[in-house]
This record gives sequence, C-alpha cells and structure tokens, in this order.
Amino acid sequence: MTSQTQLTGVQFHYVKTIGNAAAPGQMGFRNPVDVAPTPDGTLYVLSHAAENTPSGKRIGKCTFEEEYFLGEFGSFGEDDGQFTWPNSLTVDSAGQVYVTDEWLHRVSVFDADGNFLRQWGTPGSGPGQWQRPAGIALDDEGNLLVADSMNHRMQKYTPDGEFLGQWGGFGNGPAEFNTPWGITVDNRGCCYVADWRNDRVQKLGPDGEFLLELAGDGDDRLRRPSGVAVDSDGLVYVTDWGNDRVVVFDAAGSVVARLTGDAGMSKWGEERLSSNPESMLEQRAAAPSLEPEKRFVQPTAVEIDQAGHIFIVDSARHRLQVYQKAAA
Amino acid sequence: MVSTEEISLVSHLMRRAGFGADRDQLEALAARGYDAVVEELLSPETQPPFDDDLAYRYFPYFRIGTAIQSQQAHWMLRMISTPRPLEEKMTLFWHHVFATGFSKVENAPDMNHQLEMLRQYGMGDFRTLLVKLSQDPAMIFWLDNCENHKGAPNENYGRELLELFSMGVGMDGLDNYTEDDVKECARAFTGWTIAPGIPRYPYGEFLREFVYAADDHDDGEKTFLGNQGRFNGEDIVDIICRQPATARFICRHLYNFFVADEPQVPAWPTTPPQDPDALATLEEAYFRSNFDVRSVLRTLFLSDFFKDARFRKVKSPAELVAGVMRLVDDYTAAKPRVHEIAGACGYMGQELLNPPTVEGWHTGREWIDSGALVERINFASNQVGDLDKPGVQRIADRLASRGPTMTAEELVDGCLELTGFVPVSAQRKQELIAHVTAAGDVRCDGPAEREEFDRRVARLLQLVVASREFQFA
Repeated sequence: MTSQTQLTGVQFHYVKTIGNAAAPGQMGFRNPVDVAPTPDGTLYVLSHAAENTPSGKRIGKCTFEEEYFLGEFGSFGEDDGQFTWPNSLTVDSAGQVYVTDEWLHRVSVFDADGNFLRQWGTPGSGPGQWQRPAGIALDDEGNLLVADSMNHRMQKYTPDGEFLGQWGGFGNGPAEFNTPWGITVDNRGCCYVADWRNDRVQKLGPDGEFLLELAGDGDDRLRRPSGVAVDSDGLVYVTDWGNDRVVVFDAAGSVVARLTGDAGMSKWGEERLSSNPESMLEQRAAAPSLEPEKRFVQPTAVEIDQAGHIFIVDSARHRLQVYQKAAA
Repeated sequence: MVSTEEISLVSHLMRRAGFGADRDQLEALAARGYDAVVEELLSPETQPPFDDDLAYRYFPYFRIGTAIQSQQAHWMLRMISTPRPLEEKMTLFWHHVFATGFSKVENAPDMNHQLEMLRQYGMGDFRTLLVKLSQDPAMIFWLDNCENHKGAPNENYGRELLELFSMGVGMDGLDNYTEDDVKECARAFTGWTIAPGIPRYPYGEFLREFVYAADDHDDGEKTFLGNQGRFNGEDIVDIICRQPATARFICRHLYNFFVADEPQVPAWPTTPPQDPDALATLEEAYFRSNFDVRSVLRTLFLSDFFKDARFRKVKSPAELVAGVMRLVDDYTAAKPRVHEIAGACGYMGQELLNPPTVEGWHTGREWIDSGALVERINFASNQVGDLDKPGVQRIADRLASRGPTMTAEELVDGCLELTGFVPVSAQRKQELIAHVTAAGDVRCDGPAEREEFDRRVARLLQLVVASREFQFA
C-alpha cells in the first residue's frame, strides 16, 4: 500500500528509503538536491546543505543494495572542486561526474573517485554564458544539456565544455521558459524541462521545437516543478516541489498518479535510532502519528535506473524514497 | 517636484515602519505623498510577498532547518528584501514582546511557525493575536503550558501572558492584577498543549501541533479580574483585551518601538510615559477600533508626535544591520553567506530568535556598550566603504552628478543626506568638513578625478556611519 492516488491502471510500489540527516563523514545526506544512479549500481547524491556547515556541501557515493557509503567529495566555497549553490549532477559513460552550481555559474567535472578534473562557465547572457545553470542531462550522443535558469533557456555543450547551441528565452509561451530547473532526455532525444516559474513541464524535440506541455489541472495542477524523468514506457515523473509530491503523467500529458511519500526507516536511520534507543524510540512511540514522517517535503529531483527503480530526492527530509512501477 | 523636507519625513517613516530605503525609493515614495505611503505600509497584502520560492530553491534548509543560524539567515534576508516592510517590522516588534527563545524550543519549524503567525496576525485584532499566541507550539513549550494540567497548574504561561504579553505588572503606581488572577488565568489555559513531536532523527525536525485536551482542562468556576465564570483561555483573552492596562501596555510598547525610547519595561509600573498625551491618543485608537493593531499604527504614523520624533530612538541591531544592507543594496536578493549578515546582529547584542529571557531585549541606550558599539561601527563602516556595493556606487554617482566640483561642506551635506539625513552635531560636521578639506579640492571632472572622488565618498560615508547620530533611527 502506498500513498499513491491512483487515477488509472498504473500502480507503484514503495521499495525503500535511503538516507539520514547527516553531517559530513556520517552515513547520510544533508538537503540532497539530486541523485545520479550509474549502471554499476552506484548512487551519486548531491547534498546542498547549509552554508554555516561548510563541509556539508558534498557528493556522497553509496550503493542501492547495501547502502554502503563509498565516500564523499566536495565542500563549500569558490575554489576548484568546491560548490556554493550546487543544483544538479549527472554521470557519463566514462564515470565522469558533472555538477552545476547556480551561484558560481559553472559546471565542475570530477572523476569517479571524486578527483576534480576541470570546470567551465562564465556569467552572462551571451552564447555559451550562464546565469545560474541548474538542471543538467546527457543526450544519447554524450553531449550535455544545461538549463540556463536566469537566462530562461537551454544550452548544449560537449563534455569538454564546447558550446554547441541554445534555444528558448523568457516567457510563458511554447518553448519559452521562466527560471527552469531540472531536465531530462528520453530515448528519442526529446528533452523535458521542469519550467519552474511557469508551473509546467515542457517536452521539446531534439532541436528545441515545442511538442507538449504537462501542467495538470485542478488538484493535479503543478506548482514550481523542479525535476523530471521519463521511463521506458514513456511515463513522465515530475517532482511537484511546491506541492510536496510527485505527479506522474502519461505520454499524452494526462495525469495517471500522484505520490505523496511512503518513507520507512532507512538502514542508516535504524542505526541512528539504535545509538540512543531509550530516548529516540520512546519519543517515536509517544508521537500520536508517524504519518508526517512518510511524506515528501520539497522533493527536488527524480531519476530512474536501469532496473526501473524510481528515486525521489526528498530534499528537506535528507533522503531518497525509492519506488518501482508495478508490472502491467 | 517633492521637497527635501518631504523626502526627509518619508525617510523617517521608512526607517521606523520598515528597514530604510535608498534615495531613489524615497523620492518615489515622497511623490506619492506621506499619507498614501502610510496606507500602503498598513496594507501589505497590496504588495507582492517575499519570494520564499526562490529562497527555498537557493537555501533548501530554510524550510526545515535544524540550526538557528539558518533560521536567522532566512529572517534577515526577509527583513532586507521584503516588499512588505511594515509587515516584517511588526513581526520583529512582536518577537520583542512575545520573546521566545530557540535555546529552549530547539525546533526550527516551530520557531518559523511562530514568526509566520506573527506575520499573519500581527497587524490585526489583538484578541485574535493573543489566542493564536496561546496556541502557538513554540510558545507552549517555551513557557511550559504543556505542563499546565487540570489539578496541577503550571503558572508560567498564565503569568507571562499578563505580565509581559498584555497588561504589564502595574500602571500609574497601581498593580494591574493580583497573584490570584495569575492562578485563575493559568487554570483557564489548562489543556492548551502540544502533541508529542516526532523526534528530529533521522529525518529532521517536525512541527509540533497545538492540541486542546478537553479532559485536561479545568472547567471549574474562576474569578479573574473581577469577572466570574467557567472561563477557558479565549474568555481570559477577551477580558484582558478590555483592560485599560492592556491598552496602555501595548501602546507603550508600540511607542517605544516606533516613536522614542522609553525606560525598560520593568520600570513602567512606576515611571510614567514620557508623552502621556501620545499614549492617550494611541489607547483611544485601541478601544475605538475594538483592539485593532492596524488602526493604532495608523494613528501613530499620522501623528505629529511620530513625525517630530526623528532620531529619537537607538536602532536595534536588527534595524541597523538590515538598514545598512538596504542602504548599500546588498542581500536585497538571495546571496550566499547571508547567515553571516544575520549573525552580525548577535555580535551587537541581539541574537535573533534567541532573546536572553522571556522579557526580551532591553532596548534604547542599553543596546550600546563599548563592545556592541565597535561591532556596529565596524559592520556599517565595512559595508558603506565598499564601492562594489551597488548602493554605495549609486550614492557616489548621485553626488558626482551635482557638478564637476563642490565644496567640502557640499560633499559632507550630500553624504549626510543620502545616508538618511543624519543630523550630526555642528562640531561633528566641522570635523567631517575638515577631513574632506585636508584631502584637497573635491573634483569629479575627469576619469582619475572621478575615481578619487568615489574613494573619498566611500571614506566619508564610513565616517558618517561611525558617528553617534547614525546609531539613532
């Protein structure tokens, strides 16, 4: 049983929760904003964290199956390999990790072990410049699409940072944007953009041509959508950040499900509780309801791995909630 | 064309009813007319709200943080950048009066919830505000009303509700209530509690919720301030709001916060207000409007005693910090390290969201000691001395536009005017003129001269904000 509001025959199973509100060096995340699952089962989790704990901004590596913490890298600052307002990340087939930073207007690149490799980006509104780069995704040719949020446009780059093109601009019409955030590319090369300030997701063709708007209506109306993913069946998953939920659309743009969160106790959470069981378990037992603990709070991103796991980045709750679509 | 006096008056209004405004804003406001600006301030719903969406996007820990620094940063960003300055100033005002401390509450969502409650109800009817305060989870925990049980009352909240939140201990040399009234008040609030919260580990803080436990409420007959009945909390609030002492106490707080420094609150029972006529005017507005805070504020801001009170109160640290940042136009949008700006208030003696006691902060001249004064001057001086700050550069631009050359006195007058018509003493003004004169003629008629002119403006601004007079609002 999940928190799903099922509107059609599509069903989702809650699988597990990964996470724990944790300081650097501990097992967990702090205000994660994005996740990148890789084919070998590694999860790269980008923690935004607070600025008054400078080492809180970091990328943590763990595995899905064991939740084994493989290490972390990055910190708060403006030097090479540091982050100020990290927003999104993606990992290419060579294992290189690309991270956008909305304050520093740059993409930083690391190897799989977290060694800083290079960075690019300059603030501005000209071709190849950025104002607060946000979502980042790889297309099937290995190029990078970046949501240039305050220039309200999309840009394309090679993995080495060579500018290839751009489209979009400020507005609320077709193929126009207002402060876009997350993006993804489907298996046909179409781009989906979480058009954050326009309260919608737009589907664009490989050359940036407008194809479809997904906004929902009534109870399903999106508010400040932040992340988007597409599964192999064409279902579109949107983190409806301003409504603390996930909305699932079919390929035609109709809402098929809403998820509000089902978090259980993660492995790291269990370890945390067991460290002081008298106090923590007593408090939990006294709470009139643990239902609020299950719910998403400001989910920022959604990603799907090759096994079909749907990872929801439950940012304000410092965790990932994992779902899987039920077999038809 | 608005007059300098009209701009000066609006500057005074914006310092008090908000956190200041730069010269361009002041000229635009003055052109609309003083009374119209007062009405705009009193109607925050006509202005766009603070952009919490962007704040949460760039600071995702603002919504459910665990550290007080994050909550302070969120609030300071609001004070600096809100399009609804009086709404935020009243939130700060009520935080002074209903002082609640993170040191005990230790729950950021609860503290945020209280601020949002003050923001929502702080300019409405006082009765509603007191009921909401009595149901506020942070307040219930802060003053132990969750330990106030039928048959075993805890008087902490009931006592402070009377002593610090509404009536005050006494007025005009007489007591406002008795010890029995405190006990009966506490009985009326038995059962006003909070549900046990979900612990913060492993997924962060959860807002606690107000619960009315009817079976833990003492429903017996009570006698309170001469009234008899089976009073519950709302009944007590009704009686409190009708008291002349409440009108006096709240209006004196408003006078102290917005008009001129009064003695500290513990002295109020025996020390008469400095302007009894002003207090009487505000008290009359309180009763005439059926306890409507907005109506009292309107009376206050339109009064001569307010208009004549320029620079008669010491800026609180929050006012100083937010005002300086608005002046230099920095952090008027989301920007990293805002927690350091908010933290500066603490170094000056006002750790936001963490007042020293339930009595709040002592105000007026007690904001100033040698350590706090150094912090205030250093903070302001560092900001206005930085020509990279847009507001500082605009001041230099505006002064440079007045002519290719100017006298030292004209430059000094310009800097005083553009920092808010700071009324320095004659001696201080001569010192400033001497400082400018010593560096030679004031010129901005060429690129090199303009560069030097800007540096001299920045240096002069540093001396202005280091003046005694700049410490006043």
